[in-house]
Amino acid sequence: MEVMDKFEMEVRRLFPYVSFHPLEREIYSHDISVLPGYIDSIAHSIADVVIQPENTFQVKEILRLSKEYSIPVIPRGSATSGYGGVIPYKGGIVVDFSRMDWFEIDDEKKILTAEPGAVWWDIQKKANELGLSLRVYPTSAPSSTVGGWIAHGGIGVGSRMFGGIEENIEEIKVIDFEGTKRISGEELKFYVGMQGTTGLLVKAKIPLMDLRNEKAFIVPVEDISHAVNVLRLKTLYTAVFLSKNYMKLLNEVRGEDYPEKDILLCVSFDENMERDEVAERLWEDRFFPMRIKKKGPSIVISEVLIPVDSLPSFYSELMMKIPPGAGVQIYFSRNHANVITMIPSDEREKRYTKDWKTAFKIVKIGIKNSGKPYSTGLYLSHLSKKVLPDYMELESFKKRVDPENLLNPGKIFPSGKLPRIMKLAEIVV
Amino acid sequence: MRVIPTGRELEEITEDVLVCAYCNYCRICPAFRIEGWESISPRGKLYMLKKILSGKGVMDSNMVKDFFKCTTCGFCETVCQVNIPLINLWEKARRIIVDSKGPLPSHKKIANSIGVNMNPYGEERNLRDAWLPQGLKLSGSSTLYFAGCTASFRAKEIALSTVEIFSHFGIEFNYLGRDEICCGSTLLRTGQRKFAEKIIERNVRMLERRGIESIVTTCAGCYRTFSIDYPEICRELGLDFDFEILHLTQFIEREAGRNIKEGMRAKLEGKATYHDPCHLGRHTGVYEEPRNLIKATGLELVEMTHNRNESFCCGAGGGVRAQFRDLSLKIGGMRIMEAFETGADYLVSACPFCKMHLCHSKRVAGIEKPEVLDISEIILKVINENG
Repeated sequence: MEVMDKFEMEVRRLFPYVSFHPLEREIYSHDISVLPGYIDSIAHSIADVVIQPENTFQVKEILRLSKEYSIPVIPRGSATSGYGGVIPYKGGIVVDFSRMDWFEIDDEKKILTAEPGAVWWDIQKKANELGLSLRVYPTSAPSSTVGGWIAHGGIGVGSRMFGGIEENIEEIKVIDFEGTKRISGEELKFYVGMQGTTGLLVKAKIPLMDLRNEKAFIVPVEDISHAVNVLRLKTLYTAVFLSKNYMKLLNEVRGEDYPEKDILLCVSFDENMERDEVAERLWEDRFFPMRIKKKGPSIVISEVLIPVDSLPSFYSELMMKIPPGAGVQIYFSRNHANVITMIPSDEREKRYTKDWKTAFKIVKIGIKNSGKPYSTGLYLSHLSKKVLPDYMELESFKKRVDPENLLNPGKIFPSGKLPRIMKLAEIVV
Repeated sequence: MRVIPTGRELEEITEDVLVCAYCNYCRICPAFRIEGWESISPRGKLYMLKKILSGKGVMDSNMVKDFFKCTTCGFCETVCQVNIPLINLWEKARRIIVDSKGPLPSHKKIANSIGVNMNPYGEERNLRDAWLPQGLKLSGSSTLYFAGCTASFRAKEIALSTVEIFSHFGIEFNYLGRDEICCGSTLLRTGQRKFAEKIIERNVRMLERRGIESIVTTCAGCYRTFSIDYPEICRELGLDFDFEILHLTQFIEREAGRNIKEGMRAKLEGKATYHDPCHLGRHTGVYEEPRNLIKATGLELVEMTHNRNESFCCGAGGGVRAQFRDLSLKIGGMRIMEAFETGADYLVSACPFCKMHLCHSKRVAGIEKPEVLDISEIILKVINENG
């Protein structure tokens, strides 16, 4: 019997929710990104099998099989990111955590305990019923998962007040080839934002806050420096800068009549704030940043994390590089700004490659201004060494827990042909 | 065989497919919630369509089945960030699939039955008016009660309640009797457009001959078909379509709403929750009239978690009940549980197909309450209470 036949037999015997069907494997081998043809031909690969585990025992079994058959394991949440983190770059077992979506809220201790497949907005609705709320959540909360966001890392709604997701975790439980581990404190850095390259997250404990009235209001700003100065003076739950052109795009695709100027959308718990109808509509739209894709039909997105102090110089360079039709959204954390540049494009046209080049240029400008890409994932793994301050430590940890590089290979830690091609592309840019 | 659209249709589908943001907000799809595999989900189907349109994928029999596991309830459309007209897209895709590969077995059976007996249930055509009470006088009114196939053969109590309500309020109405034939909804929903066009043409000519001006339906599927599909298809076929289309709830509220609200001394007691039929709610925007009528009967209206444009499908539509019975009953079971959790005495709907399927799902779920009733039965109940 062929090794892979034996593998398939064993998988089918062990797991009730499995698919070897070519179409299903294809569907579970993409994220939200659409690469230009020449990069896609290198990066695109298809899972060997998709497994939907129901419990930690099955996750352990997946890792056992991975080791036994030397097959990579690629954890997958809702696949709402665009850095290739869930792409089975070297084939392997895609582990879809959607069936591990249990969560529980201890309303006395104000603690959430969740499995990786639990969806943020499902949790938020339940927490709100109990008079509680998540402190931070991603703007893709209606579908993105606890495991997905923790593995991806980053900032979102609430980060101005509470910081990124990594600052809002009490403890996680991960499984790797050595067994089950409970991780907290300093050690979280080996897992949060590491895209499952060091272990598979199976549970997370996350502190919650009391539910408070959110008041959204708009501060018109003259320029980005003005926005940064406004932020220094206010205590805000969330702050988002929306460029004049982003507002214009929203008006075009939504038929809205938003003011077409640079604005700072602020959300505060201050009971004395006046209700602002336009701000509240924009706040309600926080989950729909991709609406402007309608303008495309495709979109090229660049996300750069910049220290707030460097934001004005970065932003002025950015404005000189991006096409006139691009919109910018900036989410603020305590000390950083996530600058999201959205370039409406069309993947069927030549300009799509040009727009991707622009996205690379933006990353380069970001690095020059003490920033880094929001995530390196698969497509920007060649930059990890340059932009991750603890890279050497992380790499040595990875080698210790995953010597065969089976845990989501190619992500964060460069591997294979793609990083070399991307490095070359970066030089050309 | 390759399934690839051409011409204008190809352009339209391509634009819709490319604009998908893959955000997965459409994870709320009831069929996906049950099956759990993305090939069933709107996002997964859009991804595969993209592959097929770019020549990188071929639609195999599994994928064909996945396309037809959708009830076309349209919940996905309400959460789509980029406003893809998904109901329309799913129906277009089905039509293209059927044109090249033929219908699924159960859907073919339905078409055969309509071909022979003019109803999808395989019932004899001359029994279509068997529900009609003997001695009931019909008029040559220009207002037609179109009972539809389900109320004529499977949920006769709805047709009966309707004509009794009309009689009570002295509303004159016309009825086609054995000349009434399927509206074509089932054919359209299952991708069998060419046959549906023939049915539609036949119906339109019949309605014209009978001098009909207004059509009142108790079936949400008939209502959607007459009000959305007929005008569009008639335009394409070069036929005139100039009829007022009303669902019973709209008609009754207009004709007798005040009478029910203020003219009834005895009121019904208890709690009712309302299930928005997808074809009446999300597809055609009728949300308040049924609720107003329920409240007018005296019942306390309690909402389920999913209501109005965020309502949850009963699981029967889009040919799913016919071809994928287990899946449809599991979706129906979820809806029944939602209704059960409200503590309502009655689960009221405004569609015989929803009622039939919710009753079936309730039996399978093995729960006692709530009693599943159509809005026409609730109205008749309050009329009878008043003697």
